[in-house]
Amino acid sequence: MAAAVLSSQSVNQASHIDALKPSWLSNEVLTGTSIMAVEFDGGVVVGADSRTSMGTYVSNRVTDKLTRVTDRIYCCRSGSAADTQAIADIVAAQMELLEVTMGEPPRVRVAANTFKEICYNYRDSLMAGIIVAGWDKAIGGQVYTIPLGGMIVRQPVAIGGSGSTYVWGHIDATYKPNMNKQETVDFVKNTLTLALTRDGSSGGVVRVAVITKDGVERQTFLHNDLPQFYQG
Amino acid sequence: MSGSSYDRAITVFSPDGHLFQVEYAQEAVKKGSTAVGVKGKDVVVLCVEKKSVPQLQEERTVRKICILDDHVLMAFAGLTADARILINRARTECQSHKLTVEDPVRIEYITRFIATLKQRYTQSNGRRPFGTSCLIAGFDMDGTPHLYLTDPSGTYTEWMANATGRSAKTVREFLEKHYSEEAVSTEEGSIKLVVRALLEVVQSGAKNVEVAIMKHSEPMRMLDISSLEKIVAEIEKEKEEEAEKKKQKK
Repeated sequence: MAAAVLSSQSVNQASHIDALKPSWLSNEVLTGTSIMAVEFDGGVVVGADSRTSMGTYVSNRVTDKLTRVTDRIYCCRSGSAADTQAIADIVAAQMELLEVTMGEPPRVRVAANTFKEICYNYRDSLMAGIIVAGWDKAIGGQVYTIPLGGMIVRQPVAIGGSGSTYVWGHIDATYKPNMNKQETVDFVKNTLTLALTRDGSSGGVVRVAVITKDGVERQTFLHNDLPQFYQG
Repeated sequence: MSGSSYDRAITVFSPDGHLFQVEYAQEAVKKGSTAVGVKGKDVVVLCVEKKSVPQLQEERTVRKICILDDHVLMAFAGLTADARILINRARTECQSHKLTVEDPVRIEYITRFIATLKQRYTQSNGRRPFGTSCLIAGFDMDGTPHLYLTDPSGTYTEWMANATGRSAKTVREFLEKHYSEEAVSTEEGSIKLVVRALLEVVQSGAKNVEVAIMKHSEPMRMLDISSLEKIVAEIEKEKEEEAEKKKQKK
């Protein structure tokens, strides 16, 4: 099923006509992005910005980059919008098949490794940086990061996308373990705000989802509700 | 019908037009434990005969009602191992369909898929037909319930109520007598009809039947033993009352 959908194709078929069009019509659609996920006791908080860009043109300023894989597992997508959508759809289908055959929801690690299998085996054809986060009854909240190339590693905090480069120092200085749900949501909101204010490819609203055993709670922080930091 | 040179290879017709292997497969189905299905107004109910298990066997490893997707149920009669293959193929197809067209399968579609698979095995070399008859029930996206029956030849038909397996004829006759739109207009009525139908041919007792219920946009529900016992007790009482009325009429 995965092989049929992901045959390799080149990213841009340039022709002489493209030279006459504005560049944003032929650039690939990217989610140049700020995404992150944080574990806390009882679940995970995932967050993302909402900008999708085609070159300098913002093709969607209210994107939802937090994609459902199962009822308790979400993924944050960065890189090529097409690649990450296709991968997420395939993994979601495989997880649903697993749920039907096993009689219980699949574990977060299983979903994360399914992402990894696709991202690693098709690494030359894909551009996808994915953070998989969720809750299962075996271990609780987990965050797995799968950067370009298809490595997988579990981390208590994971950040990704072009905006993440601006906030490595911030999370190192601010993150502390054993935060409660509200502290974790605030941490995610502040970090993403800092990232999207500095990164040209990130922007719009901050979308947050809190995943626990009781379900998924989604929040959207509009741009003027974001915290104010030093503007200089 | 038996023991001629025309029942060896499945691809060969007999002079009088029989595919003996298919008919033998249908015989295998008639040996399996009974499965009954009823389509109610807004509910579908499947009920299977629970064979008694040896003392040391783990009871829960025998599952004769399975979900194919969160809106499709299947019960079967016949070879369990053959059914397992069909179930796996059908489950994968349900997901593949959703992945490609972003819509859950219609009950008719997945039934047709299973029936086509069965038919293929009646027309190829070196393979025998599946020895199962499947009762497929569920809800389409628009909320309409459906109940289909497939058989080893690869035909499928839609029903308001039907049974397959051992004593299916007796159960079907009971259903023909007692099925009415009014009887199945409620969930409770549909469940009672199915259980009563199966109890015609199975030793009475909640531990001998397994009942699964599905409603539109709701996950499948297996009836727990205490609700089953209550229903069986109510059915027994109704049967006694009917017998009393008959006696008094005489």
